[in-house]
Amino acid sequence: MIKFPGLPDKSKSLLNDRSVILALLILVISIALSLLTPAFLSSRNLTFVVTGMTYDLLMALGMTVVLLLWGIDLSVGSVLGLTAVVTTMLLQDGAAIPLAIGLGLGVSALCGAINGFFVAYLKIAPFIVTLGMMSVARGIATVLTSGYFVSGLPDAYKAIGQGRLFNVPYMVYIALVAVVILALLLRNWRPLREAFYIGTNPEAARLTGIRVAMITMGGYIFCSLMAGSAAIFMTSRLSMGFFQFGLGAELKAIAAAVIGGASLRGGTGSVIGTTLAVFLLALINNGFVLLKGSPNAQNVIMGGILVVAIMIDAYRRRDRDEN
Amino acid sequence: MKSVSRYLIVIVLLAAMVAGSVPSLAQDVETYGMVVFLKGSEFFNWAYAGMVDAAARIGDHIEVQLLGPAEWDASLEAREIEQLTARGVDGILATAGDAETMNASIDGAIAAGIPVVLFDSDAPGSDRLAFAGTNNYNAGCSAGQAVAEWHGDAARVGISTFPGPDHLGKRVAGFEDCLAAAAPGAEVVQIVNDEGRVDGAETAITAMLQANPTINVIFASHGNPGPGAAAAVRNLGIVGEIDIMAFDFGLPVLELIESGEIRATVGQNPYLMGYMGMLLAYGARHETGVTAGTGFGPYASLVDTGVQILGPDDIDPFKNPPTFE
Repeated sequence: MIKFPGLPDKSKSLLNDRSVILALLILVISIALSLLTPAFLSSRNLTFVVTGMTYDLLMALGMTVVLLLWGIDLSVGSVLGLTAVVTTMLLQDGAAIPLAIGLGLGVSALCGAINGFFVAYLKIAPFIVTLGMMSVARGIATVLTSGYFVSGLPDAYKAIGQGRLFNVPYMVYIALVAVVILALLLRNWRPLREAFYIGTNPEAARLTGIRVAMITMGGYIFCSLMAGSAAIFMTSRLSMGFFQFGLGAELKAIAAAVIGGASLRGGTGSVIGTTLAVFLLALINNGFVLLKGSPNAQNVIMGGILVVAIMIDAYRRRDRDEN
Repeated sequence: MKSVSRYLIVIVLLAAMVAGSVPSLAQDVETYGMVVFLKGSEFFNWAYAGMVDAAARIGDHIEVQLLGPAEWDASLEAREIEQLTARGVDGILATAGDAETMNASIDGAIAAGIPVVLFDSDAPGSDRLAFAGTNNYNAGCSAGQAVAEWHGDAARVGISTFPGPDHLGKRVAGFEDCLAAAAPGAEVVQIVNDEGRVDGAETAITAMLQANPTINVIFASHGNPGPGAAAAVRNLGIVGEIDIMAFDFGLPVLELIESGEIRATVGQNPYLMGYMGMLLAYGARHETGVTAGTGFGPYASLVDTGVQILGPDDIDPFKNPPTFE
């Protein structure tokens, strides 16, 4: 096992400090909301809070891995839109459901591979590469549909997003399984453990024999695949595809990952932290509606939370650099 | 020999007639271009169909063209307008993907003496002659009056919209004013932020309906919340208990009206936008004695193309939108 002096082995700890803080915040907000509005604590409301956060959670998990590698992926929202359009257009043309999903996810993986190749092998800044992909993917989705909604999807496909087990949508179980698997892999699977080292010091990681380029490229493919999975759930749940699906989703994903403990300068990140952060943001949104907060103030508050999280990250990073 | 020379004379005369008529025919032909973003989209195909029909109504000498990018790119629209200006067409209809980006190209066409009429999305800061489109306050008002007819004073309404766009604010204001005027006991219980997204609308409306069990109507102020509202109502297992008033008539909205999940939608009239836009441009192209000196013929600077509340019995004509190459 490679050890970097001075770097705490965060991958070993499922509940780092940030996760504890987030869990406490969630508890406080939940108690406050349950006192302020009786609708909050109903199992139905909590089920829909969790259901509504599924898309954001999948994308935030993908973003966490990319941030871990000292990267960033601004194209996840557009990849979601492109996957949504490709999959639903194939279904509309009569393609078999597994084929349509497979090709849709294939498109998202291809976007991730292109991002990863340019970042990992051609050493182009992730911000530039993924900004380009953001534009290209959204452009292709727009040209393919000319702004049309894609509808008329088969019932069996809609069941993926609308079907329930014990009154909880299937996609919630699938997202939770993804959380558990990724948390375990991040702890125990060597390439993902090495991602921490790559994000902390890519050059040092390369010198110790870690396959930096391959793991980095894999991280981008994974991130795009998570966006593609979110597209499958979104289109099946809403019974349609649309080129604007996923618009602005990248900011939410980055916000959740950073609030959850990932750093814009790589090397840190937590699956549990990201999951709790997505839940916290979903709770705040839910509470806002339940308490009849002004829609105009909602964006201000969500933006403010992101700014505070980034400030805390900058402070923490400065602290670490000084030590 | 005589007959041959007779034929020759006839042929020469016919050729002279044809040759003489060509310049006058060329002068008579008038070319008008429609410039859109999202070329090929259902909405703008309806608008172009209106333009084509208006051109046919004016006469065979009117030629029309549909131009513009398939994506939402106002700079490419501006380039199309510049090219039409360089060609010296007789009139331009355009919808502004972004007003600021297009102002210069519109002003250039006007300076060249080409009438420019905006439709659907205006560029009020430009020198465009006229605008044909939806009066958004009136559109919201129509929806409010329809809801008042459905439920009267018992209407308890949740509105899905998002902060920012001016036209959405006008729709909501029109809805609230006309609902209050038609049914003073009715109430807008809550307005939620759907962030402009279908899934955002689903999440926000689901929470709103749980917090406010008295709500019996949802008004979607733009095209996306309608399907989102239907999903929210499905989530809560209360299909049939909540009336949804959607906006626009994309195919998913029409399917949900057919299935009974959406009660009605506020249908804008893109066909009329194209039709009236063509008539305005043609009118402006031809000076009359009264308007002499302005450089343009008579035109109305603002035309409200209105909306129609479309229920299950009204949607058949919209199921097969026109298509153009």
